[in-house]
Amino acid sequence: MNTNTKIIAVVAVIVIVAAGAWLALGHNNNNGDDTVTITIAGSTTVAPIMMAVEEVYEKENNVDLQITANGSGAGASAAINGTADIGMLSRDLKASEVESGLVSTTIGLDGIAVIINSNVTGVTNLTVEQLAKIYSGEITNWSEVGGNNLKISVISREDGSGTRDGFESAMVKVDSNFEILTEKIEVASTNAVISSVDRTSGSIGYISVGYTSKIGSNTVLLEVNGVEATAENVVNGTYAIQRDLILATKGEPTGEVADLINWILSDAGQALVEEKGYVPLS
Amino acid sequence: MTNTRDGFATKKRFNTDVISRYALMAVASLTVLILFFIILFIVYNSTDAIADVGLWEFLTGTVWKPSADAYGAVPVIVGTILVTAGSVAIAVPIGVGAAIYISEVSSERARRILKPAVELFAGIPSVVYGFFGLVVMIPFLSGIFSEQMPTGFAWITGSLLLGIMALPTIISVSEDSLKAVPRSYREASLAMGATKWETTKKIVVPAAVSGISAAVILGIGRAIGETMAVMMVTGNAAIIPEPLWNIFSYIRTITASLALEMPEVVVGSTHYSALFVLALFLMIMVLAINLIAGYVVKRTKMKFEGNVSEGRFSDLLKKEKIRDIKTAAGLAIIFLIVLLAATLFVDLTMSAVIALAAVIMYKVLAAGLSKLSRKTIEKLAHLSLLAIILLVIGMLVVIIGDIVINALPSLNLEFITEYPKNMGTEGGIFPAIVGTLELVAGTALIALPIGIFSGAYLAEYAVSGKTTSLIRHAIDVLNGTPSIVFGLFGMTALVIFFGFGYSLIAGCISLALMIMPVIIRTTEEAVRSVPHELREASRAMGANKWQTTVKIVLPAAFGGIMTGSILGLGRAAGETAPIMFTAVVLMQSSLSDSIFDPVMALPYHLYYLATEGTADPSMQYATALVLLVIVLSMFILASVIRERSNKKNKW
Amino acid sequence: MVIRMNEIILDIKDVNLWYGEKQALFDVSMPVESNRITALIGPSGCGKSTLLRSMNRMNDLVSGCRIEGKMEFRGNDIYDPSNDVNSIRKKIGMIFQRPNPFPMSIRDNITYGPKIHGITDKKELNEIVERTLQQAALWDEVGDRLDKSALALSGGQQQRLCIARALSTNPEIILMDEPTSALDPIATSKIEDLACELQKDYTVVIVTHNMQQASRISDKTGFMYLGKMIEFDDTEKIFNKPKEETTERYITGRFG
Repeated sequence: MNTNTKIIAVVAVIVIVAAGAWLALGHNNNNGDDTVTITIAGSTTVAPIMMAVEEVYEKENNVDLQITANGSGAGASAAINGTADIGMLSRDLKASEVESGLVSTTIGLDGIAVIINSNVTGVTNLTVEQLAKIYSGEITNWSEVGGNNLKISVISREDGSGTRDGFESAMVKVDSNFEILTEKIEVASTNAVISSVDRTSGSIGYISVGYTSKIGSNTVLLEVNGVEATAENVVNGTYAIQRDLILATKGEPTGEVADLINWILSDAGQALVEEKGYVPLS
Repeated sequence: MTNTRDGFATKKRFNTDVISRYALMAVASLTVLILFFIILFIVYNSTDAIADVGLWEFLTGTVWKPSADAYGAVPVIVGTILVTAGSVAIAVPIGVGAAIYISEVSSERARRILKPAVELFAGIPSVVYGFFGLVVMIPFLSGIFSEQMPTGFAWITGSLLLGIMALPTIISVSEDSLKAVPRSYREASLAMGATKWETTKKIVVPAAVSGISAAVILGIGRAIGETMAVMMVTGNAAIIPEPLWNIFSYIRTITASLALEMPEVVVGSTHYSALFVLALFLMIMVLAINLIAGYVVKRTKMKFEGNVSEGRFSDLLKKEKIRDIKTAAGLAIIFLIVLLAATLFVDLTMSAVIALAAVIMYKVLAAGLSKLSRKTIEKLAHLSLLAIILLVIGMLVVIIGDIVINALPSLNLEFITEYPKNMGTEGGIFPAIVGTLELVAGTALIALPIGIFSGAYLAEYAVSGKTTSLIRHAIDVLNGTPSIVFGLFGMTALVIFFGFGYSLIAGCISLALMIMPVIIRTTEEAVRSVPHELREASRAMGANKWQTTVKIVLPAAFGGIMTGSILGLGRAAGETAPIMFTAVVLMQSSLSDSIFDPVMALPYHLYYLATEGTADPSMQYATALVLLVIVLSMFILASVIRERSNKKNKW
Repeated sequence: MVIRMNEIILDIKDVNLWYGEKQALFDVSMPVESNRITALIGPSGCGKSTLLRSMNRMNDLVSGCRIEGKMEFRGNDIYDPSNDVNSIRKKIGMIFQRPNPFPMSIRDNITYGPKIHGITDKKELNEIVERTLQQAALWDEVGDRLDKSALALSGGQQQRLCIARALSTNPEIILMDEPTSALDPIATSKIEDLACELQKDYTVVIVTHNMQQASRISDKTGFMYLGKMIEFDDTEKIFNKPKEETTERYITGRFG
């Protein structure tokens, strides 16, 4: 190849590599040199709260929040493994997680709502017993619960999801032998449940009450045990399925992490919790 | 002109050639070290689960539910095999057919368009395929087969998508082997009055069979290692399809299990170790495929060249009576396949009827075909091949066209320069673009020097022997290793064990490990193809080996080396699995300022948006388009450099 | 015509050579006189190229090649292990059968050798380029486009470039391995004229398949057959009054 092409190729490579190196190493962002990075990972239910917090909190304090939402289980593991400073969970800590040194701080409450695809007609309410039968595979057709003759497509969260944990705990309360069926679609976030239910005919799924405003046009929000899925009904205890929203740290929170958590517990932080559709601590 | 009468110089104590040989050998041995380290890591971390749970449970248990201490890996092992088998069944006929068309039927002009088009296919990142599967294939298929798979997520969807993804590999390698069949074979056949199709069918294809087998096996390897695309369209339920041939069932592969569960494991827990057991199974499958590949290629080559006596069994197969049994067996297979497929739709009796009808139709067709003239048969064959290639090109056009059209509404300057807002549903993807570029740059800095010098070592300095053999085997294994394994290794070794945390550096190292084999291979090939005469001329002038390598050989191989490097980096830019567990975060409000900070990246961002499903579809498409543009332009650049350097070198 | 004997610049004494187990040269001896053109002729496979390549130790690059005997360059055995082979090749250059210029500019082709051996001064390099191209009778044709690619030249020009390149390290002996067998007749005769010119300042050893070429340009000729030096004498004697019967049969075309 002629010298000109060679030169161009080499220069291009050098430019790209140098630019990348500059960006990676020498780049000085607006936050200044002594910004502290706080990594936050976990529940997709809690993530919107933390992202709202990020927008407000970062400006007034010298911290950089890095947020990843990949499920409560992932959040707990990340906190234990040390790959995240804070784990977000939409359930209580398990015994093994407490043993591994995690300490939790509750920042709010949330209900778990049930949604179905609008292709299903004649169903506006389900009891927890019916939900348990659907999710264990005993009931497989909508006609068995008063709906049209349509196969039920079950959508669930992944094994490590706090939302799933909360949902299954409610199932176990009415059926101690409850085991979720294997023939279901597992998706890895609340938003994924919302979009899957919206586009999958005959499907059913469960999501955080805080997300109920986001359901799609082909989705119907069900009542559970005759009670509407709202924040008020979670507060007054009439809604059947709910859980705590917690932030977990390895050991007691210290330093900037403690400051952040305290801020979330403060009025300003709790206001954000409520704004996002969850239940603040009273 | 002075005729100096000096004597010769004495041999220097520190011989550059000796030093450079050992230095390069050390660099090339790094690959062995890396592979050794990775395997060691996997084996070491899997021992806990094997001890606690027992290999028996893994290999025979049918329930995978770590939270309930159930570690039966049968569903995911079966799932991997079934999805791969399905994809191969789809990709091989289409791929080999397309290859035959390109090599034997198409005109030179058509070939010049078709070949690069197929290679373009290979450049599309797997997450983009997964995205396409999610937003186009799933609604489409669930509409057609609304009763059998109302959700659209299924084994068949996964296999279809994987089949499309394996096509470029199968087509390219098959086409190369077909083209390599000597002209004299074809000429001899045609000179005897055979039609072009008969020549193709009876002479060319059999001659290329070892290369085609290699292509198929490479395709299998690609399919087994695929993570993102299958994860997005199979439903990921760890069940064994019921009945076993139910292509509409949900299914989960080993790679998907690894990707889904890796973030959730706590280091040191049984679940953590169990994932390494799965990775071990995966590596064993990949190794087995590699070994079979080597064996099949050797055998088929020897067979065609007449070096192997066929043995009594195959002599037997050739006898007339056996011929009849072969036809009968063929019919039985058709009956069985149609029967099984039909049972997915109708009851058993109906299915039997349909299967019988299929067999009768086949016999009628076969009889009819045999009555046709040889010329007509050739025309039909060529038409079918044309249909196949049009199908392939059509798919490419549909995929890219769909993405371009749907991306346009969201594609504007703000999209490229702004930060994401509101969990990605608004704003832009600027940090993801920057992150991807940073990842590519960092990967280049690590992978290129090691890869190029290792390749140069293998081509110029390595002598056949145990060390060289070991190095080559290590490179082959690394090359076949699924990208998710690099992600697993990166997360547990770099992020956690070495404490880098989720960081750019961890991502770059993982990606560099993944593409190193490609760089080494293409460098070695490029260096080998430099004509020997150039080296001779240089040595004859008194240059030593190192000088010759650096000043003559490597510059002459520059085109090939560049092509390989850019292809490797293009692949790195589009990969999700290695960075998902080592380098990326979902949201950033400002760019990271250190290599120990995480970054956003386009492939992961696309995956997130697509699986969340809340962002405006055109935003998802626009993200996919930006990623495609970056990756495909690297591919095109590589092609252009290769073309130009081939022209200039003229050898 | 009196032919004086010049100094023996390369004395080949009792050389045996093996490629692995197979012996290719058997007790070959040949004195190469300076400022002469010595030709090696013989049928295919007789070992003439092997012998030529031993003279600048190019056979070292062939794995499994083993040599016994001596080749003394002004009394210094080039196979003495304490000698640096690269400096040997500086003094004994080689032209190959197929022209093999580097894929670089004409200038870079010629400055390659000097740069390897440590010359960096630009003026000096330019001087070498001009001088060697003049010596190779190529300057007039390419002097104005030294920075163009060498691959753009014709076959004959490429070979002359290779000669210029070989001259750039100031060698004393130039080995030519069938340098014209890939060239057309006009290019061939140019190379032959060039060899005769070069003889004034250098020593030339040429392997050739073409007996007429040998008789045209060489002063001394060695006839080889089956790895042995059958006869070595003045060219005139070899072609007109050979002593050995084998030589005579080859010369008269009874085998070849």
